[in-house]
Amino acid sequence: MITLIDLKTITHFCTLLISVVFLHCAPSTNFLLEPHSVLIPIDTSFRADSSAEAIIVPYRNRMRMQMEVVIGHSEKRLVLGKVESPLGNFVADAILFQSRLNFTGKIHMSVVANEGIRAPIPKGPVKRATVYELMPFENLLYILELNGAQTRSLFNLLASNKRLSIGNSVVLVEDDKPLKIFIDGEPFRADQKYVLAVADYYAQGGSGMSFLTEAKVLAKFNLKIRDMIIEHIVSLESKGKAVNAEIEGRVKLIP
Amino acid sequence: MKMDRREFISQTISSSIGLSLMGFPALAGNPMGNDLTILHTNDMHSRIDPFPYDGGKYAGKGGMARRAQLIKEIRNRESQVLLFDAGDIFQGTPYFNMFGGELEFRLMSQMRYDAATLGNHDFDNGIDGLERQLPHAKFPFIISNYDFTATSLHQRFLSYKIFQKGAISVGVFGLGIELQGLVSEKLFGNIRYLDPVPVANEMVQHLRSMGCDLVICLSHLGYRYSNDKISDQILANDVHGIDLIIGGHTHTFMEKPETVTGPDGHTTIINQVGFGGINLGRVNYKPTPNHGRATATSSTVKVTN
Repeated sequence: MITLIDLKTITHFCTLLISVVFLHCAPSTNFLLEPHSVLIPIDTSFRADSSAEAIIVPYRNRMRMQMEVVIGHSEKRLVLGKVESPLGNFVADAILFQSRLNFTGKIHMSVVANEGIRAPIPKGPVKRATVYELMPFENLLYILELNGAQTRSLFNLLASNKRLSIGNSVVLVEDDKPLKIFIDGEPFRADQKYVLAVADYYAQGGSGMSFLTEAKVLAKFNLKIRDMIIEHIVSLESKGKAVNAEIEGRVKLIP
Repeated sequence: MKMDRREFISQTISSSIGLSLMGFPALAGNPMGNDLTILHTNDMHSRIDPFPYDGGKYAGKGGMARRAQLIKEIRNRESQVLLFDAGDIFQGTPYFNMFGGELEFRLMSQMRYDAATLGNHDFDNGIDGLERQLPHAKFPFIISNYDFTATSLHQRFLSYKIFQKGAISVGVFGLGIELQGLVSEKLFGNIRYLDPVPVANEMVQHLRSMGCDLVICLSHLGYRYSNDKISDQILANDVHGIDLIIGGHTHTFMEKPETVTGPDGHTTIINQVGFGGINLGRVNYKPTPNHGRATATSSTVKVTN
């Protein structure tokens, strides 16, 4: 696994280096090296380096033109929580709602892993940038048909890790296992098929959802999850509605 | 140990004075001191500007231009500085979505990063997306356990690199996390992941045989997990001879590094400084001549432009 550095790379990088040693280093250690470590918080006590700032400015200006646009308003600050959360519910619902506008068949539910939701929605004006930070990934929408076993695997994962947010379903969790599952208002049935709106990342097995790779793919849309959330917020705004969500008992832990 | 800016600068100065008083001939008339200063970041996640003032926990923290200023100030006081990053440079702000990582690499080049390893999110625009940005990075990527042979990135990265800082020879290798399950296969393509432990053993052995005084691992494995998944802690326990693991991936805020005594009593320290460029990690090594051992002379081949 030790590969030699190719010469082009060396020439490329050597301007930055004081020296690079390849051969004939001393065979034994010449020094005792005593480590001493500090953590330096980078805060307002440091001014911005002017040459770094000069590099950033043109990018920032272009970015702001697109990103500073206010697309909606949020009733409150939406954040993730330990299990079910307002932010997780909002994202799962946005995906479900927007999927239904794009897919003609029935969609029972939606799911998103909390680790894929990367930033909160602040109270007040919601900028396009907020949604980019919340959903930075270029994930696309998949519609999957799950059999009973695959559906159960999904709820098993949720019950054990408690880090999935779900739309249009409810689960009672006892001892890290799903005790009761309701999907689209009906009790779960092992012999039924369920249609799931989900990002391609999970459909391809990401975040522990390897069981989804075996589900039937009903549709793949060239539609980014992020753009679906933006569209959802824009449509709420156009109806005079605020961005909002509550913890409503979608995941109930039985103590 | 957490320090504010004034404290850390005065600490730096007093440590230099301390060294001078101890009477190193090499330090006479050298107010800069002889310490090796390792600076490090991890998981900066395209956080170019400070975190916005949105009521969040990190509002107003970080910012790459501020980091550049801090690093410049440290470089003004220290002569032997190495600056590293432990991966996940990409992804997290619209800067990445709009410009693909170009700005991140340009700023890191301006700060004179010496090397970085690769995180899983550095593949978020695929192998092609990373390849497109490489011309903007005037620093090497060091990754020892990804085999790129079957990809277009073959021979674009280093398995290890040895930096000569004054009299100290520093060997650096890099370890990446298993991409399967973290990055969709269409993005990481034919990169072959190799078990970090044997690779690390091989690297340490090789770097020591090359006479390195200090062996550093840039790791994106993650600090620790509740199961037996390979982590920095497991690495430090299972691999003999790593001096410093600069970690990433788990976004762990470590107030101070963790010291692990590994096989044969070798001490490894693990450090990780959160994410988003909120902190800069700094590990200073004070060189003391090792009188207990024969001091071998070294001959070096210098590569200059």
